[in-house]
Amino acid sequence: MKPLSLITVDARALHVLAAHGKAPVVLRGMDESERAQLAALCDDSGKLVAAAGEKYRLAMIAHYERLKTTDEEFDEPSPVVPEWSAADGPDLKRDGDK
Amino acid sequence: MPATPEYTIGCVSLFDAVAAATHVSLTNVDFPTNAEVSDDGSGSLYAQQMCITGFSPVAAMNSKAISQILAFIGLNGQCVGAGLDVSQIDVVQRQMENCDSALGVTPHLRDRVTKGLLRIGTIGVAGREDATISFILDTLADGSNGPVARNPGVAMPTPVVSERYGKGACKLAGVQFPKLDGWDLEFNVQMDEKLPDDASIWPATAGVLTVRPVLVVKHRDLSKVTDALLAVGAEEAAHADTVLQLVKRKNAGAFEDFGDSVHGRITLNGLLLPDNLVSVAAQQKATGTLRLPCSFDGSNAPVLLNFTSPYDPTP
Repeated sequence: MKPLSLITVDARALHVLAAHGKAPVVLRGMDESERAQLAALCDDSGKLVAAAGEKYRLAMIAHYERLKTTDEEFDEPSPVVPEWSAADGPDLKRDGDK
Repeated sequence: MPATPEYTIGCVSLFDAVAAATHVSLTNVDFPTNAEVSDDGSGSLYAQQMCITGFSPVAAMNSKAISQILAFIGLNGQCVGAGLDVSQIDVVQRQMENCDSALGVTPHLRDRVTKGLLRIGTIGVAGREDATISFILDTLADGSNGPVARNPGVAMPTPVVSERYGKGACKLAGVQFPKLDGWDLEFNVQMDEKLPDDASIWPATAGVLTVRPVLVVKHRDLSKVTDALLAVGAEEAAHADTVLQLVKRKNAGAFEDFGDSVHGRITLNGLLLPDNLVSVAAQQKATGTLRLPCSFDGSNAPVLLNFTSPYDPTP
């Protein structure tokens, strides 16, 4: 097997994400320490370290907790709130809603 | 008579955790609502009631921009919603200009999904055609709004990213298979049943139950399936010796430099089986089919997807 070119922290972290079935987009929401934590889970050859699965799980839990907190800290409306108005077309209300 | 707006395919916009959008070109979109209606079930000649009991839009999309899509969807699927790594998806249809009226500033149509589940369907390539990826977006209600919000007055997002990949050399269970006819990697990401909350017609949540990728390869060099392989019926395939490659095409050229880290490298772990020893008819080339159901090797996911790899002509 040819050695993986896992030189940078991000490249290592991406490899760890792929090994756990996750997409690179996860890295975009991570801060430096979270990326470094993931990168530490594989060695230079791309092999995952011992107990990488459990360490990965804990790192991801911490990441999503931080994302949640960051979201709550902003007072301004989140950009993901749907722009729902009459102009958007039929308003499919739930049963019983008027 | 007023002009009738008509639309064609636009793009999909994928928003990351900080709401930065990537707009990706598409080749196909199908967005059925899966609306379920039922009558009162009485013995009357005519139905006396007709109610909607379920409304669960699912977008099935195809694209040639494989690395862009795989940047947002991993093997295990990707949840979409506030506070997640993918926060929102827009499916945009482009209004066509016609001879009745010029287009306005915001003539296009956008279907916005703020909660859902993204899954990869298939990656496939054949002959000299471009490789394609299919992916699925199951939409969910966010607690107060419907799963899809339609806005017929938006501007076309820019820039829309376009990519193309061609078939590259591959290796299966340590054996190089040059000049394959093609291959299809079906990811088989199965979801649990999507159920609505009480007093709602919209599904509220969904999750991935199982991921069972299967590779099917069509090849022409029948001698590659050896007597030794036939004797045991199957060969173990590992990430280290099983590689599919997609070569990135270059705009205004042929291919990107092989040494550049822009090509696709997919490694698999599983069991390689000869599926069809030979298929041939008069005045045709014979082909064979191999199948590789993928499995977990104890450390890595069954399929590793890397689209920041150099291309290796002899993997």
